[in-house]
Amino acid sequence: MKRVLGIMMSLLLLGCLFPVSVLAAQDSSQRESDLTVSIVTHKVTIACGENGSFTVRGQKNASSVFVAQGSDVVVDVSPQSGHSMKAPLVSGEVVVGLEDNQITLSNIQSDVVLVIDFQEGNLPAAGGDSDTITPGEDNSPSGTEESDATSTPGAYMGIDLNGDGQADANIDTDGDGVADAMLMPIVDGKAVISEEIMEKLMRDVPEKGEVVLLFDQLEKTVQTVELPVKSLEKMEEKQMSFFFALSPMEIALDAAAVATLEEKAAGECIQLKIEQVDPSQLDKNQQNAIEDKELMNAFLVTISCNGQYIEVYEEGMVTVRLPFVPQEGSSIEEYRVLLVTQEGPVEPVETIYENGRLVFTVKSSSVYAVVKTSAGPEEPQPFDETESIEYTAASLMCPLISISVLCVIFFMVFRKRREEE
Amino acid sequence: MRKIVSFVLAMVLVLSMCMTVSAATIDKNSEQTATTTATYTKGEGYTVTIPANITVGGEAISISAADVMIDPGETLKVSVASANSWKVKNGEEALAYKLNDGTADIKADDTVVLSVAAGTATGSVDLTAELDNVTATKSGTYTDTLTFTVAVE
Repeated sequence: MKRVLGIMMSLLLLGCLFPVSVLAAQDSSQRESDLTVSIVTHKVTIACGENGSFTVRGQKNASSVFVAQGSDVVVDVSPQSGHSMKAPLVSGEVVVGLEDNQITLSNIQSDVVLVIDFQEGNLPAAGGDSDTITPGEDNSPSGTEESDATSTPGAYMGIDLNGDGQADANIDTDGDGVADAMLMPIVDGKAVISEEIMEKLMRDVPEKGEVVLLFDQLEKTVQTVELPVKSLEKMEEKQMSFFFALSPMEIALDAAAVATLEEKAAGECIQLKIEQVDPSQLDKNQQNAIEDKELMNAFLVTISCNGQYIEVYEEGMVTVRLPFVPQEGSSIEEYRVLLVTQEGPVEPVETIYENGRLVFTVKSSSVYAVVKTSAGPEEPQPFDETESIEYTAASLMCPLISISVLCVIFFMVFRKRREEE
Repeated sequence: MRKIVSFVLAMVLVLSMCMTVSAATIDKNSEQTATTTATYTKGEGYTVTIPANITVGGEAISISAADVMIDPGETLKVSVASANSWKVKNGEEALAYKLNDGTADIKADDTVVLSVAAGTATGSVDLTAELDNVTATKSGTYTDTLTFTVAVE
């Protein structure tokens, strides 16, 4: 029994002493502890319009810089003679200071996009010598700077994602309370809509609803919109329709047109284009087809994928709304919209005039011309302001037959009277 | 005899529990700091505090030693080494950086950043981290791990 107790005591003593010996061994040698070194960087992208330039202080020829979180970037702006800087557009989590021609981005906490643009005249960019601009808010200067100045197209644009009818420069797209503008480049009048943007656009659109893209309030003209086909698939699933406000037209695709577009697209993206056509660009056949009509305006409307036109106009409806004001002294009845085919023949397009816009349905990817006709008996009936009229042979023959019948009756009555006399 | 054995066993158990508690070393769960505590059985020891994080370009951190009780002629030394050769990395992208103790740049492994000689109870050094003359080429988080070694020599 004593032996057992002795062994137990020995074991216990060893077990108790073990950690102490290890500790002592450690203490007599080394102990270690780790520390994490970190730095978070953010990208600052700067886009600049025409009629001026900028430099990032401390950087050479940089349109984008990477900076540590919390740091500052100073941008010196140099408008050309006769121009001044407009209120800059800023996206991202940052404090913006504006003084003369110097923009200070302070305490940068996210990627930042800064858009600098210029206007004619020497108007101040903001309402004072020094201002703090808050991303997500309207930072436009008060006063009439915008209305009187001839604006120069900027390099970037925003789109209306919150449906308030205004192109948004700074908006909170992910609902985190921080402005994170959907800024995208426009190159040669083309706006490329990414799947990400489409996702955000469709986020709050109900089934069978309309996805709206407004480009018409931007300073830069957008003539072409490139859309990802994958997003069209999702639109088709939810039977969504599309509405674009371009410059200057509006174009709407119903759900059937969207579905057809998705089915026929042989590529990753489709391009919807409305391009103003210079009358001199029309070939002889097309010019001859218009004949003596005065050409007011001509547009090329196309939907294509990988350079191939996609015809969706039979399966679905593509409607164009073109702002139009008749010339002084003339009435809307004197104007027509004609489809001018590549071969030349023209075809009148059913058109209504509604709220200052000519509204017509696109029949094919072609040139559409607005012409002024010379009034005469051979001219088809003009469209009125509320409904369209079909110019058929029957509609022209009816009055002629009626007049003929009246003449015959009058002749017979006249002859009978003479016989009686 | 049994009473004596029981008493001895009880004492051994109590003592072992004390030892286990005193062996608690680095508390990394504490906010922003890790404390290294060592206790000699003969009553000597030290407490070295090393923060868990430092931001490049950010505020200084303090490495401190307290309650230093070591044998005469010995020195408590805290040295540092980098896991990424003194570069913060974000994937393949690496940015060189250095520590600075207010007098000199530190960017060599096993550099002693803090020395406390016997007879001195406390010591500390403030360190900052700064990028070398380099700029990032992408946004994101770059990290490195510094290992601080505490030794009595």
